[in-house]
Amino acid sequence: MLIALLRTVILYLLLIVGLRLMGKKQVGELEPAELVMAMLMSDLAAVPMQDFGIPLLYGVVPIITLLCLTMMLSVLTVRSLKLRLLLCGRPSIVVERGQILQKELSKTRMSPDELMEELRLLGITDLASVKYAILETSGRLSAVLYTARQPLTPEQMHLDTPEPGLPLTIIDNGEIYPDNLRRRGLNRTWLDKTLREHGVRSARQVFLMTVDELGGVYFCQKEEQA
Amino acid sequence: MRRIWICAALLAALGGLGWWNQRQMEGICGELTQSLTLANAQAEAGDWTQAEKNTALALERWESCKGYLTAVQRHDYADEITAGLREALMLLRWGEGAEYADVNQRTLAALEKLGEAERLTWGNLL
Repeated sequence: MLIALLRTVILYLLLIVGLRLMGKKQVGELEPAELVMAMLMSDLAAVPMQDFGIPLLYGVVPIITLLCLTMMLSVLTVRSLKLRLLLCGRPSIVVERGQILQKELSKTRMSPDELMEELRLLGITDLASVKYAILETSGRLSAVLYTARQPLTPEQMHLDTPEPGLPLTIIDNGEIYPDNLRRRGLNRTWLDKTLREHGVRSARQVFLMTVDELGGVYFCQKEEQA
Repeated sequence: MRRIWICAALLAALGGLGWWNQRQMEGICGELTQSLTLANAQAEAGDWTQAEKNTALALERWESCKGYLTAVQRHDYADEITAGLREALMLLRWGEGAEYADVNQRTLAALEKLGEAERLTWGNLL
């Protein structure tokens, strides 16, 4: 048991160091500690689950150890900047004022093709319009465009646009949500009237219906009823 | 900060439990090794009754820890020793000296392996 505990600690730390050395690109959306946890947990649980000759404790002890280590590291990284930099690294600026920072890009082991692909995923095709592109510690790329290249907003055009707010689900697959109906200040009489207006007799014929803060209705009838 | 302390306490508890388990396994295996070595010497000296009595006591002691052993050891390791002790006892009752010595040696080796597996050594850790 003691050996299992110590082995788990050693392997956990080793995997975190390994992932840190592999760089941001490999991490994906998870922090290294979270990724290691996800990688190990399923395997640890599967072994005693499948092999009845192995005591349950052989799975339980490493899993509790991993949970404790991950929890400790996540709390410590919030509290300590140094530890956060050590475990998660720091964001890398790969494009500055439309220019690719080649040294930084090669440090992150990202090719120009991959950079362009990531930018395209953000809806950017022209590198010259990028003021900054930053490879975050999570491995995702974020970009800041030049103000002149940013999409025009109604505010910049001094236009007064309505704010519909959050749409609440009123009917989901034929089922009415009375709480949401009340929250929008509506009642069953209004609902019945609206359903009639949309040509249906009962809520059971509705696939999805939402109402926003301005009373705007989104209505989708069930296909088999249409 | 409270979370860190809870986690540290849990890890310390697991470490303590692991250390206690190591001591416990060493104790059980040491005790049984002593009984079986004594039984072997008694059998060699021709005192079959005492050898049988000591082996039976060892089997009884081993089976009294069955629940604990099932929880902390690979089941096939524990089963191997149970089978070895039972076989040794049968051979003593039948007076099969040579075969008994062989089975007893195997059981002693299995006990040694079990005790060593839990010991905190570089060999085990690596």
